[in-house]
Amino acid sequence: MKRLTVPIIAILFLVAITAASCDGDATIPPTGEELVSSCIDCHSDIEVLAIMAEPQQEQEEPEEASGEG
Amino acid sequence: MPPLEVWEKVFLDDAEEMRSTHLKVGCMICHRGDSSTMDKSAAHEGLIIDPSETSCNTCHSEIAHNNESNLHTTLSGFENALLTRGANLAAGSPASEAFKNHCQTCHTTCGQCHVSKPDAMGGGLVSGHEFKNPPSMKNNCVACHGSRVGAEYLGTNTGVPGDLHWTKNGMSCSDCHRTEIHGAGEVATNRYHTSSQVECIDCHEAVLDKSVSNAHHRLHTEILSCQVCHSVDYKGCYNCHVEVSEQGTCYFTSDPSVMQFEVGFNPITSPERPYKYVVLRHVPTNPDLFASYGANLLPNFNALPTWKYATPHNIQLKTPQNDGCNYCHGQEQLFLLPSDVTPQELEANKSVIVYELPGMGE
Repeated sequence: MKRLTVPIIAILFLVAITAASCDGDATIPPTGEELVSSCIDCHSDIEVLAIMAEPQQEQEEPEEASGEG
Repeated sequence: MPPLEVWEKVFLDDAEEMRSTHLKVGCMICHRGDSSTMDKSAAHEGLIIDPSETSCNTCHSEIAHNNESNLHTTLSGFENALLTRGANLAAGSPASEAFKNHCQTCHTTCGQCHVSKPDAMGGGLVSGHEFKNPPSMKNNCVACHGSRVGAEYLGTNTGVPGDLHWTKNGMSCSDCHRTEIHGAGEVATNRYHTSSQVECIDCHEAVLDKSVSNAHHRLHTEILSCQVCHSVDYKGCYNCHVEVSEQGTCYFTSDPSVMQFEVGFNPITSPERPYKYVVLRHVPTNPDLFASYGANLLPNFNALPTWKYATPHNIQLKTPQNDGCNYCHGQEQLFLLPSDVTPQELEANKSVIVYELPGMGE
């Protein structure tokens, strides 16, 4: 029985890893690695974003929603 | 939704969402840039603002594949109409420039339906970085399809009720328009010529069963589109002209919209749409649409009607024209007569104009 336990655990571990990932993209980093990052730090702080924002160019707004529909 | 300040468009107010499937992989996988620095310029080096084309297909390969030829991506309906009217859309041609500046800006991407508002409508995250599936009806679908379909469906045209699918059942766009929104992996000539289109009978299949349907359906379903009996006044548009300002801003002008209801001959008869009579909507095109880019850029303008097959989204059970036989038969005001068409457009619309009102036996 003990001889079976290690292979079974290994198989279950591999299945879990495979199911949690997307198909075939080996570049995906470990889960959560990037959550502590400058992206989230700045983009979740509205005051920082407002201070850091560059002046927006004047744009003419569309007269009304249009398109085919 | 009021216009957003530039920093509001990229504000992540959804800390909880940061732990969702998509964002577990981190920002850089899709958006690139450099998350290890606090310097703004360095952090945004190589940034991909909308990574739809490069990232979505990693996991959603089938949808992404279909979407490559989807009307929302290719705008092949517009392109095909312009080509049929004789436009030269070869790279660098005046009509090609006009098409690029004024028509192609309206295409959308995965992200502009599921994450942010469409760029053509100002852009900006809809609800933090939450991936909306289905998309927000108000911020995405109606953001683009607002002036006609959205107004009809929600009942914002003065004096015209909203579609009963909305007013009675609160159905959103995606309750009818499901996977067909992503296309079927084929380039369609227009939105009515796709193999994945939505039809009323997808839900209302009993209408075609002559053993259970009512007398009106038994008599009319093969010659009238559903909207002929079940839609009400809708909006038509006229005289669109596209221009570029001295500052380089692309814009258009058009005449005020007109509420209308006109029944005419079906301009796009097909096995799926075999009807003889359909409702027609005037579209804003005209021979001088691209005149600011050059003369006679639509030399074969009359090859297509300016009154197009329409599917107004303001369906009602009871309408003025379906109250009884004589509420439609003999009612000139319901039909597109020669007098409803400007002399300049008679030739283009000769195939859809009703010259003789249909009799009771028809």
